[in-house]
Amino acid sequence: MIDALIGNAASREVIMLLAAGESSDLLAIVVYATLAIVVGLGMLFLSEVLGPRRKDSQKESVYECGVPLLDSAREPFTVKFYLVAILFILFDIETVFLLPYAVVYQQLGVIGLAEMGIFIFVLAGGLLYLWKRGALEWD
Amino acid sequence: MELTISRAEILALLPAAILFFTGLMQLFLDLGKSSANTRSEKTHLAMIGVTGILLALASLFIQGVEPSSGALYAGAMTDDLFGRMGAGVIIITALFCSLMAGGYLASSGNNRAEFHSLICFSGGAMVLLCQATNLISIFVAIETLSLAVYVLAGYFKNHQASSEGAFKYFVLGAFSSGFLLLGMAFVYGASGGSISLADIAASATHDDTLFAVGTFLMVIGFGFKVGAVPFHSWVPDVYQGAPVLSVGWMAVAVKSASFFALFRFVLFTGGGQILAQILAAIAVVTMLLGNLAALNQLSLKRMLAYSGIAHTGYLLIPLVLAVSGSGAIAGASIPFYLISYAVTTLAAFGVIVAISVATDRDDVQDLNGLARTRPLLALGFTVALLSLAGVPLTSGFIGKLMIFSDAIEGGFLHLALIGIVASLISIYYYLRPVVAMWFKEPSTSFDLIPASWGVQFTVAVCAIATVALGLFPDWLVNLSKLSVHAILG
Repeated sequence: MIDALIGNAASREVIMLLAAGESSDLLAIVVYATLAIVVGLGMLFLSEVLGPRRKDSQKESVYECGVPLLDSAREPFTVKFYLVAILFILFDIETVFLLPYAVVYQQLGVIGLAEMGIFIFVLAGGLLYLWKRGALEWD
Repeated sequence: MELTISRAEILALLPAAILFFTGLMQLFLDLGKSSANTRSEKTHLAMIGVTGILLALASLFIQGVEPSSGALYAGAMTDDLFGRMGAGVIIITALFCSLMAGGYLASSGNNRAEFHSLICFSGGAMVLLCQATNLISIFVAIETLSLAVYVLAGYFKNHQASSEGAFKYFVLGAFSSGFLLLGMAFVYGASGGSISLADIAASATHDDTLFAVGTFLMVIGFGFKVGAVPFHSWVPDVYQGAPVLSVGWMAVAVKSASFFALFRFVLFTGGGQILAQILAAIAVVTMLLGNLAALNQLSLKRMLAYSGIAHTGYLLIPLVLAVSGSGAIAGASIPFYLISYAVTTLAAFGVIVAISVATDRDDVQDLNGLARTRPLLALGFTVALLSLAGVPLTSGFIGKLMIFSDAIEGGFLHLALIGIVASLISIYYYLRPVVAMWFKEPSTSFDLIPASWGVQFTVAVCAIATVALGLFPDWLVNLSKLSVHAILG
């Protein structure tokens, strides 16, 4: 926590110095930042070396929200999940385009409406295609 | 700010829009139909495709050869002659591919509308690429066409070779897009934040390292697409694995569209002497490696893949000239060579489509005795191979003559000499199928290779066009000169 604060303060100073063009004072910052890194890493290292360790089977087991582990998580996913993810991105992008359009639709006028209409038409066409080809059926 | 759209803008977008719409229509009409349908039930798909493509061609010709109406869509695209010639090559190639697709797909057992639609979609994107005049529209067009072509390369998803080729193409293509994008970012930065090619040309200086690096990275990105030598390794595998018709489409259309866009960029911005030297080295290696590697290929598709690499090498010579600032000399050979390459390669691939439908192979020995069983196909293939080799009376000869004489005029004598040597080497492997067709006995049992009328029409028209362009090249040469001078102003 403290390390993070020091780091933030240091980087802010660097940015301010860079903005002011005072590069000669940067050496102090470099020393300061090096010190912060050394202290941070040193503490991690010391606790790794000096810290006591009492292992038991409970501690070594995988933590899964307090529930006993069922089996390995490293299993191949069915490819259907990827299809759903791709479909999600498609309509995600639709939203990304529609939101800015909602802000400026009055300025864009009839041509803007027509262009968004074509955009939605093509996307809806894609959805219809996927539907008919069975991409939305899980089995 | 009220959005307005001018008549010129609508006209300029029309060819691509018609192609996209045609693809959508084919897709929707085929929904819910079986993939194993026989040919007669699916003929309408090819008919719609051909109709749409002819309409797109007509909409291109409405504009005639009038000078450009300037920057359209806030400088995103143009309707100049150079772009329209590129669009013409793409649309005519799409026409012949659609004509051949019906029979080819029916015999493959995977007869779906997607193939037709993907040709139309990627064709539309290529037309946009030829007309694009800012970095963003160039990139969007390239990505759109690439995505469609990746799928076309892996269209036979149950064929291992087709899937493998498509995967290689996809991974390397995505990688090359990264180079292209990084190059664009550098060029954008070096020109002080402009994306339009005209602004970049006005503000960029050739001494600027950032600009030179950016241009070089963009050339690498395009180099992958056209198969220039350090970036060519995907070409043979993809060409061999992918469906023949997809390969024909890739070999002609992807290469033409990429070259048109690359030349437009270089003609606008130049690039400096160092970049010209690097590109000259790439051109030399591409010409030599393409032709030498093709010598031992017995698979026709693989041979044409290496031959395609070699032709990329020849086409890089005008690029070198344009980068070194002699664009006015080199310009005219670019559109002419690409058009000549398109008709010639289409004739060759027409015959290979017929062979692979009949035998499911594409070895040189499968051609044995073709002149006896199918004299017209054999004649068409012979004309195509001679034109690729650059024998006089064919369009390939005129194209090479223009490129090499431009190189000498522009002060790159060594490029011309190496190109001529490389062409001489190429005659050996181009003549091997010719010998097989005319002087060998038919080795296999088939008497007659079935060739759909689409294939026959394509081979006939393209072979005639190859000879016609070889005999009467003047009008096309003048048109090419006109188109390039319009860009240079």
